[in-house]
This record gives sequence, structure tokens and C-alpha cells, in this order.
Amino acid sequence: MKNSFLQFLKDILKELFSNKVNSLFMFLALTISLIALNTIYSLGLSAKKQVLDSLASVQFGKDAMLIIAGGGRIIGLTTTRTDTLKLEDVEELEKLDFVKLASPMVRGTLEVSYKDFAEKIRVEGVFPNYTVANNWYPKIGRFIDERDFKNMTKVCVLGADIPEKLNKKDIKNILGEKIKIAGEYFEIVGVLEPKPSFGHFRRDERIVIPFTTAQRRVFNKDYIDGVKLLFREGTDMKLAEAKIREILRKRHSLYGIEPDDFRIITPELAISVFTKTLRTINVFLLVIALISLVISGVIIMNLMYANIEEKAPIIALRIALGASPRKIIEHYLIMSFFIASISGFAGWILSLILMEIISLFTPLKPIFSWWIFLLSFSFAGFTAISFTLIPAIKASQIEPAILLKSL
Amino acid sequence: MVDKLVILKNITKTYKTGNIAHQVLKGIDLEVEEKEFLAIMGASGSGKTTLLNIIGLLDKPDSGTYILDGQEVSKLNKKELAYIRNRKIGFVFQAFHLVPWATALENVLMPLLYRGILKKEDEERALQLLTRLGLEKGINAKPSELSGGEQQRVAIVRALITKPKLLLADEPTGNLDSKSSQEVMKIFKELNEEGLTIIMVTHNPEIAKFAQRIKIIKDGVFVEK
Repeated sequence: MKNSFLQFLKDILKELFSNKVNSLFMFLALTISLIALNTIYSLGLSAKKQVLDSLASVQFGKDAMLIIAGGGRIIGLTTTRTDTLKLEDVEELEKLDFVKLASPMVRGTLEVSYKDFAEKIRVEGVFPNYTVANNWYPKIGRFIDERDFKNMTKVCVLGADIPEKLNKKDIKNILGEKIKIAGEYFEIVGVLEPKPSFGHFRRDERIVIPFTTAQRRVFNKDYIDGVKLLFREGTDMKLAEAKIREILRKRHSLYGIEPDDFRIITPELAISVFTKTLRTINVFLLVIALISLVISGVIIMNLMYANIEEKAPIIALRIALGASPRKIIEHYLIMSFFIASISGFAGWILSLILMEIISLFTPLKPIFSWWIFLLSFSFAGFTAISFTLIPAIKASQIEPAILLKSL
Repeated sequence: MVDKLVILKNITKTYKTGNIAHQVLKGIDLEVEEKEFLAIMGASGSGKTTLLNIIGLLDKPDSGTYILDGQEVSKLNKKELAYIRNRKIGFVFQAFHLVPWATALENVLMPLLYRGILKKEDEERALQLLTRLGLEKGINAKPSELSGGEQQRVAIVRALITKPKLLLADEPTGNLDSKSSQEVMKIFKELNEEGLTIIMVTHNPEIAKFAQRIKIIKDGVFVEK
């Protein structure tokens, strides 16, 4: 007993390969648009993963909040005064029962020089609890301690990228060296562990000094630039945010429609700001890819029509020999399914290769996901089969009488 | 009356070309008995091909009745017609109409593909028939590798593989040289003697001589000799 279906498939495949050029174009049209679709989709996945990874490595913490002096949009220039946030505000916030820890800081970009190196670098004046608040510890040496804080000592801890900038290859030797910050000599007591960049913001390019030293000796200001708050576990972020806003507005004498002169950044907000732009770009690109898929569908339809027109006598013969209209439709749908399978697979493999190539030039890393495999096959199948349906129905309507008339 | 395989009564068929209607068949009556070998002769444009299309269920008459093997078939739909063609009728065409990318054996087995089941004995029968018609060497050859006579013999085997009751041949020797023509007609004669009903359309009197009965069609009606 031999399965007639296998013979049926063999017949379809032979027909497919009998017109190589026609089949090749159908295959190419579909494959190219699938490569575009798969690649864009996986780039989107990769970019999203990267953002989430970097957000995770920032270790902002889910029970954490950052308050920055100066009102305005989350990303962009401040539109209000920036000198209103004070240590007294922080003391008030620390009284809230859900606040576990508050770490205020002042910051600025200052001229830093060391031997023949001189550059403007971000300098932060921080509390000793900075390490806990940001989950960021020294790789070598020590961090600023309570004694430094009390005595306003001139010590500093470098971000991981700074030693290299200073041309110090062997970072062990850097401890105890003096570095000039805004005209004053600071002793290097430690180097922070590296943290990944966050967008354009290179987090390892910073120098931290004691808060007291910074406020009195370097910046000479009585306000702070920001405060990182850690909450007790299970704190309702929405309520916490509302309460903190209320307190700060009251203390800053802001009433009615007057805008906040501070910004509150929560982990959700940070993620949403970064993923939103990403999603917009990604949706836009996916729409383009889908349009190209429709175009390839139309190309397939066109070529299928040409194929059917060319094979009309053979289709008429099949009908004369007893093929029902349904068998003819099946015949061409199976044929397009073959094209779809080959294209789906080729589109998938080639998009993986393309991703590898893209990763050589961009920070995006290739991502392997069976979803993309599934995406490739389902879109290939859907496009090929839906656009073959009309030509296939037309083929099934061919009159077998043409076999005799054509003579 | 089962011994009448084909009964046509007052069959008419009109083709429209633009606004001009052209009546090709003007009331055809025909009865063909089982095991008969009938030749239909006529000049081109006489309507013989249209008649063969209707007998072969490739086209439908405008009016009249057609009873094939005891069944009224003039009102059936495409699927039902395909089913009857597949089981009761074998076709042999002037231009052979073999599928170019398929081997001789695959061409022969094609009608069985549309039945859904292909049995081992079907393949054996195909090989037997091919061997009987002297094609044992060309079983795996493509049509383009075969001579005209060989191609037509493959087409005959394809028509026979379904064990049809009726074999319809449309100018079966029209594309063949005289030697191949004689061979093909000898095969037809043998098959008829074994009990196969054959209706053949031709304009060649030499070929028509092989039939037991000859009907002549002229301007859409049968005429006496």
C-alpha cells in the first residue's frame, strides 16, 4: 500500500521545480521581507532586554525613589528654581515611617587635574550611606566614612573609568595619590566597582567626595541637588509619592497650580520613559516590515497567477482526469506552503546571521528566541497561503473543455 | 437498459462569441452500446469536438438529456462530474497532454492520485500495461524523451489505469506518423475486442475504418452516409 498523498506531494514539488525562475522569485520576495520582519522584531527584543538589563544593573531598587531639585519634565531642562531643596527637607522626609534611608547629594562638573591630565568631570558630594542607597561599593580601597564626613576631609573615591582617564593602568598604585579638584588636592582612597552605562550617561565617569567637603569647600552652597530614598519593603509607591510631594510642596510654599520645584523619579517611571521611545520606534519599524510582507504577498499572487495561466492545460488535464475543484485548490495551497516553509526557514536563519553582523557595529546583542522562529514561519505561511488562495480558486475554475478546443 | 452505455437525446449546445450566438449542436440523438467501437467523423467546425466534450463530461449541454451507464449526468455539479470522469471515462487526446515533469509511470498513475488511495497492485497494473504496449524501457522517462507514438501509448495506459467503461479518443493519431498511427489503432482494436467501449472522433477515413460503426456529423446534426 503506497500513500497517494506522498505521490500527490511529489507531483506538486516537481511542478514547483519545473519553473525554477518563477519559484525563485516567489521565494526571494517572501524571504527578504521575512528577514526584515525577523530582524526588526529581534532587534526590538534585544534593545528592550538591554534597557531592562541596564535598569536592573543600575539597581535603582524597586522600593526606591530619587528626588531631584528643580521641576520640569523627567528628561529635559529644569523649568523652576533649583536651589530650594534643603537638608531640612530631607530630615523631614526621614521622619516618615516608610522611609528606611535617605542619601542626599550635591553635584557639579568641575575641573579635575592629575599630572598632565585635565578635564571637566562630574563630581558628587555624598553621605557615607551612598553605598547602601545605590548598592554601589568600592572595588578597591575604601569608601567615604563618617570621619571624613565629620571632618570635611579632602578624600575622594573614583568611578571605575577614571583611573584609565588619568593614564593609570595599574589601579592598585592609585590609592594615596593626590588629585586636584577645583584647585584643591584630594587624596584618592578608593575606586568604585564598574556599572554599565545608562543610555548616554556614563556612570563610571564620576568622582565622589564627602558631602560636607563638597558643600562647604567645593560648591559652597546651602541646598542639595538630589536625594535618594529607600523605603521599607511593601511600601505603596503611589501613596509614598503623594505624601512626599505634599510635604515638599508645603515646605516650599507651593500652592494651587504652581508647578513642583523638584522631580520625583520612581523605578516604574524610569522604565517607562526608556521603553516608551523604544516601543514607538519598534512599532514603526514593524509596520514597515509588515507592509513589505504584504508587498511580497502581492508578488507571490502575481507569480502564482502567471504560473497558473502557463499551466492551464495541465490543470485542465488534472480536472479531466478527475481532480475535483477542491483538489486543485489544495494543490496550489500546498505548493505555496512549501515556498512558505523554505522562506520561513531561510528568513529565520538569515535574520540570525544579520543580527550577528549588526551586533558587530552596534551595542545591541543578538538574541535567540524561538518566538522569532515561530514568527517567521507563521507570517510566511499566512502570507503565502492567503495570497495564493485567489489564484488557486481561479485555477480550480478552469474549464477542462479547453483540452479539446485548443487543438 | 444497462447494455446501452451512452444515451444522448436532443442535445443542443450554443457558444456565444460577443453578441453572436453560434449553435454548434442542433439536437443530437445518439445511443452507444456497451463494447461498441464508434467513430464520429466530420469536417472541422462540424461540432464533433463539442459533442465529444459533452460525452466526456468536460462540458455541459444547454438542453437535452444524457444518460451514461444508466445515470442522468447532464445536471451534475463539477465535483460529481469529476468523480464520474475519474471512474468511468478514459481520455486519449490528439496532443497527448502528458505532464512534462512527470515520468511515464507517474503520468499513468495520475488519475489514481485523485481517488485518494494508491495501491501496490495499481502500480503493478500500470507496469503491466506499459509493458504490454511496449514501453517497458521508458517507464522512468520524461515525455520529452519519448517519441510521439510512445507518448500516445503512455496516454492510452493512463486512460486505462482506472478501468474505465468508456474510452474517448479525440483524433488520437492526429499528431502521429502513419506507422505509429497503425500501432495505436491496433491497440484500440484489441482493447475493444477485450470489451472496452470506444468513441473516437476523427476526420481521417483510414482511421475511422478501424471502428465497427461510423457516424458523420455535419453542421451540428448527424447525417446519413
